Amino acid sequence: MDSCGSPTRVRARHNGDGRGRACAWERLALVLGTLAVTALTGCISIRYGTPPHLDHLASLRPGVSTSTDVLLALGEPRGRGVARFSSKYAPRDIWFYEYAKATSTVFIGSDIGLTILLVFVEADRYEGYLWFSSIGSVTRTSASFWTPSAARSGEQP
Amino acid sequence: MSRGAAHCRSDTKPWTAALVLLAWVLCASCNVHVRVGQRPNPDVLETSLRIGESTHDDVRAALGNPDGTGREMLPIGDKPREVWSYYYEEGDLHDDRRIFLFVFFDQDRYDGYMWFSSLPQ
Repeated sequence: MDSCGSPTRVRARHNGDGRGRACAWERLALVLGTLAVTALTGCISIRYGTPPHLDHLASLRPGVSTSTDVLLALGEPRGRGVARFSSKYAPRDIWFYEYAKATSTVFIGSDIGLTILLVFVEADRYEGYLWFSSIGSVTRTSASFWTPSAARSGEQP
Repeated sequence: MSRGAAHCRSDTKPWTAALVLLAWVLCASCNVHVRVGQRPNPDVLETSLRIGESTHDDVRAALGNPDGTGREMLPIGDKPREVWSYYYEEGDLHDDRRIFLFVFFDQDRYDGYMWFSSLPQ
């Protein structure tokens, strides 16, 4: 049988035969197809949302900045919420920013990271924030919680 | 077309077809839909429950059993409190959204909450 890998075929390829060239292309297509299937089964990369602009938080002033200022600094939130920490506090709005990134590779393993930023707004005034992340330059999970009282005492995030 | 090249194509055709079929099946099954937990309804936090009055049982009746329990002592508080947490997530490979809901207890009384969600309303 005259197959692609037969000595006859190899000799034809070395002789500059057109049959050899056609066969080589089909071999290449087969290899690329195999690689494509391997890639499909071996690697998945997913991203949800956009990374929050954590560096823009410093431009916001608790009790002074408005909802519009928050929108300009951080963009549209991916979700909303409400917090009523106790009977002493009125309900306040939460602007919810999130970004998730997941990469799964058969030979290397899985890497999943999440950044969550909550911005507290009461009566159209920015009050503070809470964020935590396991993505990017953050090599371990870190958290930051900043309240108006901390701002008044001069504590920086 | 030469006879040799025709032979070569007929040899690789079944494998190429198999690869294309496999890739198609894998792509078709790629869009996995994920759901985690039961979606809590945050409306009950202000409608069915009363801060300082409702009990653990009332919260359980309104929201179901919590996914987790814990304690908190935030800078705005004056004493540690018990926390019940609820979490729900749904999505696929194109988008994924979630809700976090926390309920605070002072002894056996419902004392506050915090929830945030990226789920469509």
